[in-house]
Amino acid sequence: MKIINIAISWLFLPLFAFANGANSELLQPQTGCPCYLSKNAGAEARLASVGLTPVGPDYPGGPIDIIDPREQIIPIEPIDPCLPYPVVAPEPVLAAIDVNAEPIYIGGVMYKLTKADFIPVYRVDYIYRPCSIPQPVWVLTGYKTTIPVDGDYGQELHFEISGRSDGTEMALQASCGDFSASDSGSKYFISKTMSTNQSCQSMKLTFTFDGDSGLPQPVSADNKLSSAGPALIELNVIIAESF
Amino acid sequence: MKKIALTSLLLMSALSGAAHADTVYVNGTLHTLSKSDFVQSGNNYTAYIDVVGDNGQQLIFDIDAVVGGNGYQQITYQKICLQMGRWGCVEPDIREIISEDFRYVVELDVSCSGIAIGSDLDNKNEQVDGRVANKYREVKLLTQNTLVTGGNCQQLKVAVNGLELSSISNISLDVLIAETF
Repeated sequence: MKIINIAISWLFLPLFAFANGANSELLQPQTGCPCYLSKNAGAEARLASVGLTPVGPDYPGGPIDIIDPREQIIPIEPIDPCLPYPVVAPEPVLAAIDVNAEPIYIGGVMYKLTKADFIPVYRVDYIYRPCSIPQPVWVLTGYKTTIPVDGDYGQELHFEISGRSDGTEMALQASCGDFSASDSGSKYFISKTMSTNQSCQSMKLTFTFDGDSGLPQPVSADNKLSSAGPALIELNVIIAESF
Repeated sequence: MKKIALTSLLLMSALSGAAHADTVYVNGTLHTLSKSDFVQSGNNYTAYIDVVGDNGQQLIFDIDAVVGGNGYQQITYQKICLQMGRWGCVEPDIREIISEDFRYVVELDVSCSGIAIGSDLDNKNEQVDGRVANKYREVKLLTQNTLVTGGNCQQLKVAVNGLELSSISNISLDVLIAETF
């Protein structure tokens, strides 16, 4: 909702910039500003067409077909005359996270993981607004962690992973060598018995946002990363030998 | 020590006469119980599991279950009259009133020789419009605790209680009692 409000306010900015020099009925598209402004004397200026192409026709570099928003860095010069923009999205700077480096020992020891044991995963996304270069934002997409595993000699193992996240629905993917399982919701329960042929050396746990509720809002790329997502993640991991 | 634990256990089981699912050893091995391991009383299912190896050390209990079954939707019938005649109703009918509340609530309650270990409650309740065709739902119930029972944990009682539902059709319950380092 906030984003829409901002987007609307941006629409009216260029009106002031072009109001003086325009004689024709329809203003020509400006450099880097794919907007057509219709101007009737006395009448309110109206946005006739809004293209969302982030690169204008006079883009000084080579031809760029399509900008992939998933790309981490887009090399666009600030070309909009009225809106100088920082366009290169800096990589999210992650605080040094004290990730549990202790290995999981097979044999019924329970490992309790909390939110602090997970590394947040961000995606760089862009908010497209008319008449401006896309604004890079960071979107939290989930959490991940990897824990070394000790003691897989090819015996039959039982993987027991259970826990919950506070109200936020996520999909949990757990894998360790040949073992792979998933669960989703705001409660997680994985119980699987198998032999991994000594391939289980490190347990990889990945959460990705899944549901509609409690989704984190995008944060502006020049802001400091705030703690978003579920307030609480609790996950208990046991790898036991079965008789 | 182990022998004493074992004999008292035998005594317990002989005296209580309750249905015993199995024996769980405090060493991190896992026990899986299914619906047939439980004793049914209405929509409540109970299982008793002997515990061997509680010597007063700190214990980790991890009891998790997936409970599937059919939810409950109340349907009431009301006698109505479509047309009144001189001497009373000439065209009686029965109207079906389908509740907008669909309920599926299950509770897991775990204790060991009377010591509370943990409980969890979950639901798949829904506000619905009309009759629910597929009433099957599943909930995950997770209990987890770390405590010292002073060697008193000898028999684990696991109760799966269907609080608001029509029936429980499947239970898959994992019991794990482990020692801490």
